[in-house]
Amino acid sequence: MNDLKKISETAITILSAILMASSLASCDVSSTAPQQSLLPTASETAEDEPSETITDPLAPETEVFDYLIQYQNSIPVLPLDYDTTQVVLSCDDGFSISVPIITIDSGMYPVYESGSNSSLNTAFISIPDSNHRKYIVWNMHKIYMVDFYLATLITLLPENDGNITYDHALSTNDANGLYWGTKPILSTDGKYLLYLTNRRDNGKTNDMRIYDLVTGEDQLLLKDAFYTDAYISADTVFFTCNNRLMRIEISSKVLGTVSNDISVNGSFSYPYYIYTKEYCHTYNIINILSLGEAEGSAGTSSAALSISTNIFNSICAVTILDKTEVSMLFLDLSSNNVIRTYNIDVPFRVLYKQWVDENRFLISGYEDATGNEKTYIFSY
Amino acid sequence: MRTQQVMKRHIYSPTKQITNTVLLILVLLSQILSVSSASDQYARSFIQNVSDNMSIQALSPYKNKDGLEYWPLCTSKNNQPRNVSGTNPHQGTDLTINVGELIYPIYDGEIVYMDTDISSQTGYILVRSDIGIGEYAYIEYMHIVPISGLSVGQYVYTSIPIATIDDYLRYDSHLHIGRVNETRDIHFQIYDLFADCVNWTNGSDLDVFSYPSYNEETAEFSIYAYISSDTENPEFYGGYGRFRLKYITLFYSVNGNAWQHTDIADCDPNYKYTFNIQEKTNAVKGDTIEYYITGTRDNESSYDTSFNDASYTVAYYPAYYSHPDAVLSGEKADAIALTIKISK
Repeated sequence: MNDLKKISETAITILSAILMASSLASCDVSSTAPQQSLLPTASETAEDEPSETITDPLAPETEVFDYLIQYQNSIPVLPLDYDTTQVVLSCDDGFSISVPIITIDSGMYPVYESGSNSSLNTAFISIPDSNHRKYIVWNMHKIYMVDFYLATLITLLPENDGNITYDHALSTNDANGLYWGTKPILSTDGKYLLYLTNRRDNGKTNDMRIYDLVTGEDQLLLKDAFYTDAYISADTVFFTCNNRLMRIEISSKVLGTVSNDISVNGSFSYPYYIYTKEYCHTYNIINILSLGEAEGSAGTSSAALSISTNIFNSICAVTILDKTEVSMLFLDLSSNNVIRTYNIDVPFRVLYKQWVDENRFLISGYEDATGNEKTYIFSY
Repeated sequence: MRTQQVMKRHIYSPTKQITNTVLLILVLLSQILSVSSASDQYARSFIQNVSDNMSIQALSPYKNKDGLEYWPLCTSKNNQPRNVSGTNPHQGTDLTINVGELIYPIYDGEIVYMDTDISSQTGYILVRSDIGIGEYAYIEYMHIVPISGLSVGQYVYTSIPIATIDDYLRYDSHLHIGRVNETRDIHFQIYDLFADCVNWTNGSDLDVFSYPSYNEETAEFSIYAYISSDTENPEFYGGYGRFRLKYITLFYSVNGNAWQHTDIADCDPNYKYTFNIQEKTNAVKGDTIEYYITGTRDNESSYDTSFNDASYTVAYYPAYYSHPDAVLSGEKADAIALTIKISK
């Protein structure tokens, strides 16, 4: 009986690993491998990118799942069941995490369970070149580094900042919470970690600081400042704050303005910043290196746009919402050309939308009439 | 006081009469003002109307751009007595979210009111949503900077941000969120919107009282009641905690008789108070019990120290009045009392 159970468990593990591996390997648009046996309609993806705008009904370039899925670190995290290992790690300051992880090849992928993990308040940020073993995680107050291979959880930032200590800042904090380190943003090369802190001035002001993960140097980047979103290039931090798009050189700390007139519901895709100009159907693209600007529009005047850039290339996904009418388009930021347009043919409400990899974009939600949860994956 | 004044009026003296008249006018004025103040104190500010047929659960107002939801700590619950000069008990829920963070509507819906003036850090958006309960849900977001270009009448979506958290000016940066009526002067409980959210203890972290339950078979009554405080706690990595109430008090009237009360201090580790209401009230089969409950926040706590020496300490279930005294007069009690009929 036990043997049977073992064999069965091993088979499930192998099957899961194969499915995961095939899922991870499917970055290529020409990949035709089915992602999961659970999929009702796994279909082939487009082979070539048409340069002109095409309005298609859903099939055949989209995959349709019949329930909600979120992706993290290329892993669909909910509600699929995987052979996971529960990892419990504690830091010496008392903070602990309990998180299920999936092991694929030598990579170890944490699974984020939205709404159910009380110890976390963040997605895990994978540290480049760590073979998916090291991650950044934060808990509203501090920033930690998790190493699933070594089974360690450590505070990443020094607990002293000159005369200011964490304990002292906590006891003198008059604000609605001490953020010793919050809102971490990692550079794409994994060298820099940008973060926000209100450790100074009894918590009434925020500073932008940058931590060098290679040298451990922690330096003040900008005093009395904050950001809504940021992108770190090799030597410059670009960030948005209220209606401004700013840049600051890391070495010299020289601050400059890229634009004084943006809305912050935008997204970076270096060297582009794209945002909706009036929340609704118009959008702007700023090339933050050349300062060139381009405008465009999508949907109707009553539509709202949500723009998702990706870190791999200049293609962004624009989700167009007009109450329960949902469509999306792939836009090439470098040329401001629409590559492909899709319409969801039933009234739909969007809950999640994100890039799965450099070619596939996911929209997840439920049908308005039936309440049935459904996930679409689009490819350009 | 009033007796003394009447006695003095028997001493005749023109000067004194004038003085007394002025005094009388002043007293009357002060009484009118006092009545007016009491009236405000007992103006209706809360409604307890839980929807158990909610087909759409709310999402977190705080998430990353992919839609992964974060669950920020609550530092002041709806209906929570607090040590501040603002509404007391708190009309709404405060979530600790730092400056500049994006805020998303918790339901799709239409903007029906906005205040884009952020000079007092009171930027405000009210979104009306159909959440399948037969009436609109109005959700307010305050201490925010609305996304430029948004306007009343615009439809907004849970997957697109509507605002960012405003910078410190008069208040610490945070999100104030609440469910209100159309005219924004009455606040609903909010826990039922998040009944599926484990992180906020199924929404209990957001309201002082939540999930009342009565078992007719056993006459057992239970309710969750606790504080989510902004007290810093250096021994806790997060700096915050959930705190026990000093006690809850059951106020009851059996078959319309005089109101009585009894304190209940014991609760389970999840802050659930459970008691046999028949035993507590000495009611028998067929009796009708009118009741309401207060929770008293400990203003001498060695843990929840930011509340120490606070003068106002009570929260009511059902929440109703804006700033009620710790004990209600019969009329005020009758207006809010709930009813249980003992059947066994």
